[in-house]
Amino acid sequence: MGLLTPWFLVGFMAVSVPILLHLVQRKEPAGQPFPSLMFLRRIPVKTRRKKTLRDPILLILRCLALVLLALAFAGPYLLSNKTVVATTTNKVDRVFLLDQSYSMAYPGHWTTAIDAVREQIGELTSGERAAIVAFDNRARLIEGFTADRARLQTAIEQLRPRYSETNYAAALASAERVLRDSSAQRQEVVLVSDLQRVGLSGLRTPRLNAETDLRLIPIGPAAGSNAAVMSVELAQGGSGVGEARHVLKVRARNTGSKAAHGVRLASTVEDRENGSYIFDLEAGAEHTLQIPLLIATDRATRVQIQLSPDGIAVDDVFYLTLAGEQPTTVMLVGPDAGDTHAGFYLTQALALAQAPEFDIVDTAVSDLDQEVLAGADVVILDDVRLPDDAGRQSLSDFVARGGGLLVVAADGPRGQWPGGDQGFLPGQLGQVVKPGSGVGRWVTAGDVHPLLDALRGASVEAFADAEVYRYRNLIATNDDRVLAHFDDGAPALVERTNRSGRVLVMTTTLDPRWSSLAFTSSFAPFLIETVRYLAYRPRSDSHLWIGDSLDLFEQVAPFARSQSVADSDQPQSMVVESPEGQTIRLSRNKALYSPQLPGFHELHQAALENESLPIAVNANRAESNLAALSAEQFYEAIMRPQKLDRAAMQDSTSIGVQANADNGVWWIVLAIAVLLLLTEALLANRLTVRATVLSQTE
Amino acid sequence: MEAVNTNGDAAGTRNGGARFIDPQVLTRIGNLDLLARIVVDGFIAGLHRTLFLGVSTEFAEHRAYSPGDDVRRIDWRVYARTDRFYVKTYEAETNADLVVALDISRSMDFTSGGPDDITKLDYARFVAASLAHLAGRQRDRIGLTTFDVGLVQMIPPSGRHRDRVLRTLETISVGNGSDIGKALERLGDSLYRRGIVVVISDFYTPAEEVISALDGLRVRGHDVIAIHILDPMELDLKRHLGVRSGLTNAEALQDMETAERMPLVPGQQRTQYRRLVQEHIDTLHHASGGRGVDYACFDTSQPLDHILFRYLSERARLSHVR
Repeated sequence: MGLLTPWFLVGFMAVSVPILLHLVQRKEPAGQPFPSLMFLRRIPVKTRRKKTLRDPILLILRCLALVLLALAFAGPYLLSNKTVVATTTNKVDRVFLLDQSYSMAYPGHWTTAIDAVREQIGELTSGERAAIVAFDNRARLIEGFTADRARLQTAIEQLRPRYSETNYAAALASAERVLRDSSAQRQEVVLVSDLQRVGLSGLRTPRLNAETDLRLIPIGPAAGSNAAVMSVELAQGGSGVGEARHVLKVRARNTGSKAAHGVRLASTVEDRENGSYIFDLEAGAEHTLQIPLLIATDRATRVQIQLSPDGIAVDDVFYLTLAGEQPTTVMLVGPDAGDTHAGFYLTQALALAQAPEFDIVDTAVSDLDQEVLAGADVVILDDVRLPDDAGRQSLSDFVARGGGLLVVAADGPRGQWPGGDQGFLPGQLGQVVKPGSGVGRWVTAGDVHPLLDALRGASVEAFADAEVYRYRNLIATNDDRVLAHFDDGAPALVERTNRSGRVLVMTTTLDPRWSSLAFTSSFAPFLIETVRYLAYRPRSDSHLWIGDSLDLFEQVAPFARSQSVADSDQPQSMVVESPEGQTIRLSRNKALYSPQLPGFHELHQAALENESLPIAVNANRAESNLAALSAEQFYEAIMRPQKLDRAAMQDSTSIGVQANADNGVWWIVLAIAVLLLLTEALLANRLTVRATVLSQTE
Repeated sequence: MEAVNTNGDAAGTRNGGARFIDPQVLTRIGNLDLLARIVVDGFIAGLHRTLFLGVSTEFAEHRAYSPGDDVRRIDWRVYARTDRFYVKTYEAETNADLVVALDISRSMDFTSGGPDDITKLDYARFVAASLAHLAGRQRDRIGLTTFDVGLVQMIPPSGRHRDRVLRTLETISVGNGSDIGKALERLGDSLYRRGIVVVISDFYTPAEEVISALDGLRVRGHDVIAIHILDPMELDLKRHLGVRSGLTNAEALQDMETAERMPLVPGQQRTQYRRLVQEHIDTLHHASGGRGVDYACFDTSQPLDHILFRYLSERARLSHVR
């Protein structure tokens, strides 16, 4: 037999109360009425009380009832082998949810968590099984249900904190999936976590089946400081001969509960230290630095921002790649000589691009040929007639080699539209349409798209402010992707990917003739990001978060295009080397790479001419926020308020153990205690209680 | 079971008449008037002479006729001799006032018998009723006063108050504690004519205070009869205590008026107790005699005729004095 709350056994001390009362308290005998004690009062009487236990049967009953009450509240449960052997099904199936997010790497947290789980595993009794699920932003089943304690212990020994953020919804959903196969009498989830508040910030609300018991083992809290590099942004840039100057804006924050003094921040460029700074950070305070850098322009440069080690190590480093300052050549194709061209707004918007800047080359549509197109990264047909057959073929070849093409198909295009299933342009062009209400609006697609991602925020929302007065109808095919449309459903921006090259068609003008887009704040960012997207040029200050996915062949495409390598001649595979030295070979069809380690991942391919392309990866800084939830707040957050009382009964600051309310022993003990009390009451009424008075007359 | 008939004969009476009716038998007579008549008639029937009843025929003196006098009472012989109107006066015309002062304090509600047995208060009520009946026959004015810590009820003496007194005695209830000194002082203040005051009580007050209270009435000109009523157990602890409670060793007694408790070991305390009670009675007896107060102590097992006899003796003495 074991006890869930053994401290209730202190109640045994209450037994002394009835013993004392039986010894001390004397029930006054019922006096016989007598007219007057006037004479008796004059007769001296000496009495003394007999110090012996009175009514021993009542005393025993009362003491026994008190002992049983205390025992019942202590929560006894049976552990005898006999009981377990007699049970044909498992009594308890328990899922240990072990928080593996990188905040658990805070000094002492992981060891405490592992010890707690190890202890819980050690307390498993016959008839109880356990499974282990480790989670950060995703949950992984480490060990399925088993009663083999050694196996479970081995499984947790191999676990280490990872580099992702906490997601309780994923963890609890995984636990429910695991428990779905359980037929145990009781199902329980034991969450071992630092209960970070950010773990609730996912899209899904964490929930757990009401039938499943949830027990929390809080780890922490973090008592020290934790300085973290929260973000690094490119503040400004400028190019020179063979090199570029950049200024990085670095934001450091102390997410711990104590001040950090003498924090040292160092910047490293290609393993060479660029400079260092020392400052103090109060708890919760933030410090912003601007760090000038000088980097080469002919290749991507590895930049590392490093804080002096404290608290969590992962957020002390920030990795970044700065792209070489190679300008993107944009060929702006206007009408033939003599025709009016309204490309003023387009030119002005493209001129705003920095890091890298755009080289804008003007040409006439009649001049398009293979040779002219060779020096261009992106071609923009700004509402001009379509080139002739030779020109169309040259454009098709340009796109096939990885070139980018933006076609403004409003009033200008005439001639055969090289679209449909065979052409390199999307859809089939239709008639000019005037919106039914006179004025149409832009609506961007909600899909995930690199171009839309780059425009996320205010820029995309500003699209809705742009008015559209006319547009040309375009019938998209299944191969085409509509990135934006008008409020009447007609396509506004359509993409077709031709192997390596990208083509976008816009069905209204970029100038104010058919649309007011040029007057919105979205116009310049939209055009710049569109050109970068078409040119496969990532932003200069580039890095990925752990968990992001990246098509690595897109990263290589600009290099291949610069070498004029035909799409069919490009290598069909590449190798990625992780910061820990592991290599992964990716095929062209499966080039999506999702890094799981912070640091520089090196991409190797023939097109890179024996040089590797670095990809900077960082851990999500949201996890650096160490603000924790209390057990009550956690229960409320996962919509389990009925568990609050239980949680309140536990000591939430320590590794708690929850009462096993389903074990039936305690209420049997309680019932016996109540029965004893009833017997005592009946007996007490029947017994005649008298004090023995011994008198001695003087 | 003993039976009582309305003619005044009761089975179980001793000496062939109703003179010595056991008080326990009297408790079975629900009507207090009937009870009193039985007692008094039986008592009178047993007397050997009628001295006490002839007082109304005895000549006292002549006095001059005055308007309003009954002309039948004019002594014509004297008129013939003196030619003046004189009327005869008799002893019987000089009626006495009888006031019964009844102690109804809580201690009077005691009986050492069962619930149906006679309590001291019952016994006192019987005595008071019998006295009222007897006084009625004697054409005395009868009054009643009940008291505990003060006067509770008071019926002033009157020749027409016999029935009222009997009704009051039937409905009497137990009061609280007792303060005989204060009660009798107030009684004395409220009596304007001299008469006979019969004080019936258990006198659980120090003897000096009792005597002082009785003496207060006497100095006002009243003839005082103090009737001390006790339960047999109050005289002898041993004889009744063990039998009633079934206890042989210790007992705790509770004062009926103060609720005070104290242990009692009869074997050890009885002797001293009896001595103290007897001293109390003796003190009352001697002190009363010294002050002209007629004192008698009865226990509730004694017949009532002794008390009646004492009353008549006092009345006779009062009549002769006049």
